[in-house]
Amino acid sequence: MDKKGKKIKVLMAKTSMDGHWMGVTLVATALRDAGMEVVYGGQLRPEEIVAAAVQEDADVIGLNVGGSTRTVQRLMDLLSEKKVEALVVAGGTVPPCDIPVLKKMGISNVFPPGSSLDSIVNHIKDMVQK
Amino acid sequence: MKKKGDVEQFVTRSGYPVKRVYDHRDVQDLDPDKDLGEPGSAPYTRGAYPNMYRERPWRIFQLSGYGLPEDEGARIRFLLETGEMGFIMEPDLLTCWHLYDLDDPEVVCRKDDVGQTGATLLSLRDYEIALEGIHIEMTYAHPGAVTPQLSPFAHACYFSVAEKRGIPLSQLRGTGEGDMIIAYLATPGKEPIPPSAGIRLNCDLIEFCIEKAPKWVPVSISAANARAGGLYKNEHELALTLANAIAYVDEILSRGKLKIDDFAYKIAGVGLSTGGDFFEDIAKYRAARRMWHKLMKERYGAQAERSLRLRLHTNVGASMCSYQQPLNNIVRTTCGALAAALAGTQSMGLACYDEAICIPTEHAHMMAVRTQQILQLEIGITDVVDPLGGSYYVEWLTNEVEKRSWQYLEEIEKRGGLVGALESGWLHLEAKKGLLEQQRQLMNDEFKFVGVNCFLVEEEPHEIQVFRSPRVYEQAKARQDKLKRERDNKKAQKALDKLRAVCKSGENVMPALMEAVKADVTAGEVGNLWREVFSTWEAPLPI
Repeated sequence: MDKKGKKIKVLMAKTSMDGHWMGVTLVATALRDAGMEVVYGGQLRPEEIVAAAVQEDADVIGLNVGGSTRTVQRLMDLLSEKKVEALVVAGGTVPPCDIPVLKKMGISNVFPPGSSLDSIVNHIKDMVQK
Repeated sequence: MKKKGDVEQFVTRSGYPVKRVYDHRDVQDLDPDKDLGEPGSAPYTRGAYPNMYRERPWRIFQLSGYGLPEDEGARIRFLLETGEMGFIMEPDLLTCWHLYDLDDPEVVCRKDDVGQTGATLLSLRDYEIALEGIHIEMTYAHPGAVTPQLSPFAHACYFSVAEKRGIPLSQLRGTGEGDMIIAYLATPGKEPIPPSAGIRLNCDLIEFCIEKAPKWVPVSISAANARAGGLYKNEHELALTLANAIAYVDEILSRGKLKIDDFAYKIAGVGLSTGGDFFEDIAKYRAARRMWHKLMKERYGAQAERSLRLRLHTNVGASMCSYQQPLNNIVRTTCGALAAALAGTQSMGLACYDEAICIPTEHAHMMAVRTQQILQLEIGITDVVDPLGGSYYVEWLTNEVEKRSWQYLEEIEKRGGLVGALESGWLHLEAKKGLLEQQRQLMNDEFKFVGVNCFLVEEEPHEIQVFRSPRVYEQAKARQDKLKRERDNKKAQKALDKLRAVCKSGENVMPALMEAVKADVTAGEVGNLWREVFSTWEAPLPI
């Protein structure tokens, strides 16, 4: 539940054109099991992610990112421009040295391969309920 | 591994219960003459060739590619100098895989991704640059033809490079891939052309190669990719391999021009994976050869030895590797490579130790080659063919994998074969089921993954040098703009029009595509044409 007592709503999307869907499926399943509502947008451009987040009134945006830091920067700029206040978390094959780069852009946390699903669920719950 | 439950039970990675020890009673129905035969003879259980590695070592065949075409070329030359015996060109996911040009809005908003997961190879000119200084008349090659929609284009470019160098296509040796499993099940892109169109393009390439490039293997079914995509059991891998072969054979036979022995050898080279359960993987290879023989002989009446003999490539993929403590991956891939060698593989590519983190460094790539060289030269495993043949356990397990694979093939066939089971989304649901099963095993410690769910460390003990592919979008874009500016646009347009007509009439696309790439038609233009004539498909992903 979020602060207002409704289900936490998560928009999940892929920023790159990579087609692996196993990771997002695992995360989406874990979030639903934890009582959240998940909408999967698939491969979306930054503009499309912002529009979908607004339309869905998402509390959280969960990104599957590849090496596309400039694309993520563009998304973060658009989110602040449009004053979308969703929490943004990311996962995927992110080299360790890119994690601080993404966090500096305003990504709340980055979950590389091997991260426990509990750590993702708990992070989202903690941050949304703050 | 030990299964959790009230009664103590041990199972293989695919979940087959195993006993403490095996003896002659477990294989009493086995008829060695009929079920095993000699290596190089029907039913090929013991190996594709009589002398195996005494005569020829398995081909060290690594995947490589990033950045601009010249970066791809430099890494290939490095690997060949290191001892690789053929090269696999990896195209980037973003442009080549989807067949988008660099001005496509899907690419423009993802500039950093261009050249990141492979090289950007969008024109004949790009292939010429990548292959500069490489003797393609003498080197076995995989020209980056990963998906069915990319494969005809990649081949048209590679073959055209040969023609421009004066090398007859009949002299070229190498393999295509055009893998249906990766394209439509494991990692489907946004809106690919439908699976049935993928089958058509692959079969066009098969027919073209029979006539023009007799030494070339036009497709390579790679159900190894299913393992990374959730279908992790060995019966999945073998059943998908055969279901895919059936789809190609039925399509070509239905065209009425060729008989089974005219073309079966062209699809009789497939890719499997190791790196999972050691003995089960070995059993899978032996079962694969026996099943192929049976399928071709009993279902299609094939007679020729080359139709009945299955050749195997091994992929020890990055999905077996961990992001945590990456040097452990060298040990994992060594075990996978050893299994494949003992099972009689014809060629092999190993994931590099840093591949779960980044594009491989030169060092990691070299280690993948050295691992194979050490196995080939230092530990005495290449002198005796099928050294595990006759082991009670291995023979029992070979039978078990085979039995379960026929059953799973029946399940796929009930759902319309490979294409039907893809289009309905049944295979995607199966993949999700497998994925959740694996995750449950990982979470309740049934499956131990060192460094991931046990023996974790806070700080990595070794610093991994992360490889950064150069940012190449701007350079690649400038180059493509120049190509389009300087080419004879009328000629390019005419070639595209001809290709469109051929697609619609059902004629073989390859001759028209060769003409088109020679007129500097780009990957994006071909992709747009495919999407226009074949329409697009959305993978039914159960997320």
